[in-house]
Amino acid sequence: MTFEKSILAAIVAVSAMAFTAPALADGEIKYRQAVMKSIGGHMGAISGIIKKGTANRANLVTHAQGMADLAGIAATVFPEGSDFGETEALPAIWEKPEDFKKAVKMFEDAASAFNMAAKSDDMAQIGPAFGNLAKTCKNCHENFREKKQ
Amino acid sequence: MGCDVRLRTALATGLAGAVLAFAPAQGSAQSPADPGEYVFNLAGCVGCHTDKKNNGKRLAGGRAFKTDYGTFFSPNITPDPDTGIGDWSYEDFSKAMREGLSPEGHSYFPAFPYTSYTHITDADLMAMWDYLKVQAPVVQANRDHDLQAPFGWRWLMVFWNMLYFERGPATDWDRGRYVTEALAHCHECHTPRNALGGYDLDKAYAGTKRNPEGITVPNITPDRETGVGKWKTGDFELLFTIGMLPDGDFVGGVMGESVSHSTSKMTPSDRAAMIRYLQSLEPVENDVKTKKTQDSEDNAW
Repeated sequence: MTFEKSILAAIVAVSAMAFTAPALADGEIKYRQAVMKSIGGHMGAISGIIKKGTANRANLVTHAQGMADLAGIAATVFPEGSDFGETEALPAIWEKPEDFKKAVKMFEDAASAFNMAAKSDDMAQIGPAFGNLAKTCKNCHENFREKKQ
Repeated sequence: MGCDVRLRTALATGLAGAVLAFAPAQGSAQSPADPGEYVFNLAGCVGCHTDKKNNGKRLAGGRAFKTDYGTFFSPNITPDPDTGIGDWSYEDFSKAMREGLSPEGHSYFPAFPYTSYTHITDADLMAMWDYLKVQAPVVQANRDHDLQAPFGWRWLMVFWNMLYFERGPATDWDRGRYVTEALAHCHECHTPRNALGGYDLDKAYAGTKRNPEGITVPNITPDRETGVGKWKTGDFELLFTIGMLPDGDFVGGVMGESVSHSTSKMTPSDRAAMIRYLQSLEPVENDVKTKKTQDSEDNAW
């Protein structure tokens, strides 16, 4: 490669990076929002079942498993650089990574505890476990997310 | 049908009850032994008067509120005599809460919701004062508000109060309205304001696309399309006890704080009274969802 060509290549590479970085952040944000909606979907379904608003009570274990699985990937949907764009995620996530890590860990633990409770099929365990799980949802939304609407 | 609705409501309420009864940190839902602490909690004082984001000390103030008028900083309300309210008398406290005036007679700005607290009864105010004056004192000097003219001119507040402030306490309110408006001060955010910051009472509780802090506040009147008219009593219960919305989402921000500090600490009967009051409001059609939000929601799929 000639000198001129490598300069050109460098220019192209740098420009490409400049364009793909925001696009990538955008993709990360969209993906994160979809994951969060899935989590919210399961939570809505679970409360519907616990409220006995549906005959599909047996599906509780499926939603509980879904929550445990999604909680397991929650930490991965906030990569560095995905704070720039149409997001409700607060800078605190990246500014106080230790606090955020702790909050996500609480969510993971509560989701697996709820999963265990759901498998027991015992309402005396399911109710409080759901309450604890809900608390971890609210905890993050209070400290790390600013609802824009 | 009516029976069915009642049954579902009872079950949903039961769920919130079951969840609450077992969730340890929320165990304070029973009326605390101290009536002052109870009123203090419901009025949500700790949220604004604690700079949680910067690990500020409890009730020592310093929390910033960025608004269209400038930035307000909440004051220290711990009993420190120099930087807090340790040298106040009950009369000073009552004047602040009921009239929005400092001990020296200066007007407070309505970022402090005295327009709601003015309706707190004497008995509740006294209990609150007894509680407040035994909290841990913190030495922390107040920060001056950073406001744009003419909003920073305190003397103008005299006219503002003439226009928009109705001194309480109102005597004909039932318990639900009292809990909702005097204590939990839901009005303050959920009723839109005019350009001068006065309530637009024709749209009471109908929310706004953009409040003075730049935040969208939802319509909580029973309008079926743009408000919460489709909500069941159990939906309100879940929101006010654990912060969950009917779609499985969880509130955060200021509403999250309200749930943590105030609504989750209400006695079941006070919470029920508040819900009944909200359900009895005049439905107002006011769509606060911005076009952009709807678009981005569509795109998310």
